[in-house]
Amino acid sequence: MRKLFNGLVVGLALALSAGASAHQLKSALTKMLFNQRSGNVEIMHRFYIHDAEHALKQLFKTNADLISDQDAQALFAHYVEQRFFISNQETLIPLNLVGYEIEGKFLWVYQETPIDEAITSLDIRNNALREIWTTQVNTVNIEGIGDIKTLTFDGNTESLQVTLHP
Amino acid sequence: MKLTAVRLTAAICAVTALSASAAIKQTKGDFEDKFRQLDESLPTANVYRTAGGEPGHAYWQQQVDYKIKVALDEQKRRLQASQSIAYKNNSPDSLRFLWIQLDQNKFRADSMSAMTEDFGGLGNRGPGGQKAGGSDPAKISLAALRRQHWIDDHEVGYDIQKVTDGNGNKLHYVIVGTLMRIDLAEPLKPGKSTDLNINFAFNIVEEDAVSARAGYEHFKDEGENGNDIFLLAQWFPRLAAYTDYEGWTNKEFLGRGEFTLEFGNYDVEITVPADHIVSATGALQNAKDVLTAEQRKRLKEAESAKRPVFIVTEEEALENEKEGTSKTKTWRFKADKVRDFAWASSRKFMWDAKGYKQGGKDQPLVMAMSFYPKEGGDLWKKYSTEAVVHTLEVYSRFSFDYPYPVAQSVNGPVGGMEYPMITFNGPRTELQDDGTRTYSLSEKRFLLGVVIHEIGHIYFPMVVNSDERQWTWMDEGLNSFLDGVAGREWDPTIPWGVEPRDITGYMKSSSQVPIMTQSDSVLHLGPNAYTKPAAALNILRETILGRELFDFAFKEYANRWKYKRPTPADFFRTMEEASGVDLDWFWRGWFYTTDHVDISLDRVYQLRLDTENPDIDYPRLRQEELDKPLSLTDLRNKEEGKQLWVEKNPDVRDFYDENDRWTVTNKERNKYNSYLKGLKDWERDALERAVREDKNYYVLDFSNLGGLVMPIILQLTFEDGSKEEMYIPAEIWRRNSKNVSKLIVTDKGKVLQSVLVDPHWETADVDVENNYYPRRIIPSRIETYKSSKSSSLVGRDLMQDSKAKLKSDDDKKDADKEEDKQ
Ligand SMILES: [Zn+2]
Repeated sequence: MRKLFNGLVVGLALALSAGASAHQLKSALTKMLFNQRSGNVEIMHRFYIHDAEHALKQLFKTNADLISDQDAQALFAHYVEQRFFISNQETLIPLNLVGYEIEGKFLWVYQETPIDEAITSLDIRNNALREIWTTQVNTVNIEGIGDIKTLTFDGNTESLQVTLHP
Repeated sequence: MKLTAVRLTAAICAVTALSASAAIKQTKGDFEDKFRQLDESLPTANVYRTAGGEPGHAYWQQQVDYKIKVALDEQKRRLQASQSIAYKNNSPDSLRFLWIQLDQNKFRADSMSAMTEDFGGLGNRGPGGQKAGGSDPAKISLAALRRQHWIDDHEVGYDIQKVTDGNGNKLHYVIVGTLMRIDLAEPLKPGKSTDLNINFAFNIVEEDAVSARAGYEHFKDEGENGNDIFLLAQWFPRLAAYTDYEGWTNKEFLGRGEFTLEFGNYDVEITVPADHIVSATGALQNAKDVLTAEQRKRLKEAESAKRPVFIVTEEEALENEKEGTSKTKTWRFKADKVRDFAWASSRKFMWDAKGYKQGGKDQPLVMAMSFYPKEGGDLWKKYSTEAVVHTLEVYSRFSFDYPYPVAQSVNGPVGGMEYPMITFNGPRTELQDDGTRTYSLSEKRFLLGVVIHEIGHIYFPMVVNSDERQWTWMDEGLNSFLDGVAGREWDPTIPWGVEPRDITGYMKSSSQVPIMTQSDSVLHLGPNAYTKPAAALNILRETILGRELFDFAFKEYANRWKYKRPTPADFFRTMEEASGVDLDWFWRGWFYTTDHVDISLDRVYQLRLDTENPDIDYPRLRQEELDKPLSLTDLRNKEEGKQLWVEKNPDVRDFYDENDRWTVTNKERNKYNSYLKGLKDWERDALERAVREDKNYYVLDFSNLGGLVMPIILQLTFEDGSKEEMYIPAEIWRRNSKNVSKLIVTDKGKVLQSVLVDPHWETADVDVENNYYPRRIIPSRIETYKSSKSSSLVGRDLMQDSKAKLKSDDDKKDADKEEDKQ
């Protein structure tokens, strides 16, 4: 069924990848840090507050003021939890939601999981906001394991793989 | 014989081709000249563009004037128009054909834009992706499906009905995607003009479905009577630009790279339903025909009002909304020296205006105006027009007086888009259950930000007419830089603009592309064309040139290219020429490469001056020896209480037991005196002074890990608690771009305790940890967060908390009052 549906989309794919707007920057940046000091893979998502607020509006029909409303921030953090996944050999790796905070024009969402030295590659999915805006681009920088590796989630990209020990 | 000659020719060709790609090359060792002048990369200066970045003495550009009559069919959401074009060939070339842009054809299912959409996006789909998570990935494609459905159900693209010359003779034309070539009956000679007539029609796209830079928005709410807001742009066949640097700029419209256009004068008659209000590029010519006497009176009042005056009030707009009409009115606008024409029309619009008296001879009075439906609410009533005025004030200071009679902000379905004298801006209020309209702080910031940004575009690129199809950064980068400046002058507590720290994440990523990449090929448009160039210009202004030099050079660029067409080289050259500072290294690093900034302070060590005076140097050497740790053998002997031979035999002593090897004798003193005598007077003075001052000499070793050469900004902290800052220009890297050392001399009492590179985070250095000497552990964001929030997060149940009902504004006010009481 899924495969069929994908085939259908391929046949019709027509999407306009360029933004309509000369202003809005539908993009998010995630830093995924292998922190040897803490022994954790620390995942730090940076969203534009304005994007996040509009996403909440569309997804949960709320008119929350994200800058002042902690509950709305929590709601968004929880949403991100449902859109960002890392897995190894098709097994999902559980991520702990550490918290979230507002800084300047950004909303940060933090997740972490202990570093597992046995794992040599990860499949990463970052679907945050992409079901709302086709133009959303999510960039993930993987740091702390040699040269920075960058994954970009946009268009129809579902899952990207990163090798941890080259 | 002949064969040899042929071979020789071939060989010469090969060498020429090679040298064209890399004229200068390091072919031994690994020296990289990060300060190599840009001459080999920039186009050769000529009579059209000087080596200093100015329009040359033979600069030319075409003149294209339009007369258009257009009618909006509200029911069919279709435009029908006829236009006559006067094309003046100011180029030194004869033109046998003209190229016309047909942007509406981009929406066709068989357009190059549609056919080349890459399903996989930037990356490849990895294995196991579909099973990796629990969410429904099919959702990603729903917006694309909606778009597809809309395109399926509507006929889009231009219906070109007639193409003739000025005398009505049919002209042969060929449509090539989003372009049309019109073959002229006779070549158009330099300095000559020709007229064209084109009749056309097209169905307007639904902006929310198709995601374009214009389109209609349909309101389905109760009482709306099916009202629409129409935003019209890229709506008429426009001449492609013919330039000295590219000839015909006939690159297919793929959606990303915007527009390359000619200046001209416009006379446009727009026929719409009689109850519509129209906002357009240009000055309204027939107010008497389309506005009531009352409205015209209000417009006059607005010219000198302190706050915006309503020309069409909310009540009047609501009245208009209730029912449509089959009658029509024709609004006529004229606009001189513009590169495009856009307009908006709806019966939902209220309209406010306020005069901006900027003085000067060009345009002493500008009418700042806003058009918006009730959905815009207080957000628009309070801030839109005021933000327009503020933008004009700030941008004019950095460039030139605003040159047009109106500057407008129109609310509709487009998030943010700019045209001459008119901008489309999306933010709105939210209707609450109690019937009020509210907006969040973020939405307020966004409205201010988008209005400032889009109005700013009227300067760049609508007047300083850069080539958007090629270089998005030339308008977006410059404009994002300036909107940050304007924003900070509005209210600095709002996080405006682009801080260097905001761009480090992108600049260290492996998917960065050079800023000097053609728009359609840029991978991450936001950071690449907006944020990074804006951050670069911010750094140029605040850190490298300083405000005085930067502001002068930037203003010079704006004025040189006002109503003209600059290329990147013209910007680079002007900024350099007018500031008097060699910036080739800066353009090369920030605009031509994907290097990032990461300067590491690897080591600091202290030097000591040899005074040659044994009475000074020998005791120092003795102290140095004493400062060394004791030999482990000696230490352990002592711990074991081992008695030494010399301790057991104190009666056996000689000269050397009393005098160590640093004992100064007259032999050394005589040697020193004869050394002093051998010195020239100036040498002796220098030595004596150095000995007397006894300064501290420190050597700082830096390495450049990111590759981008930048100034090294140091904060020196001394043992007495004082701090000093030091600026080392980027040129320190010119002979070695990987490792440099810097000698720092401080006064006797100023003993260095620690050093910090880039203390104000002004250079976009991606790694702060290696900026400290001695090294300091810099906690990650999560570590910082945990240490500051550890108490409050304990025992929180996010799952449960997130189900909590969101409080309304009133609840919050009450809660605030409660807090005040405590
Ligand atoms: Zn823009």
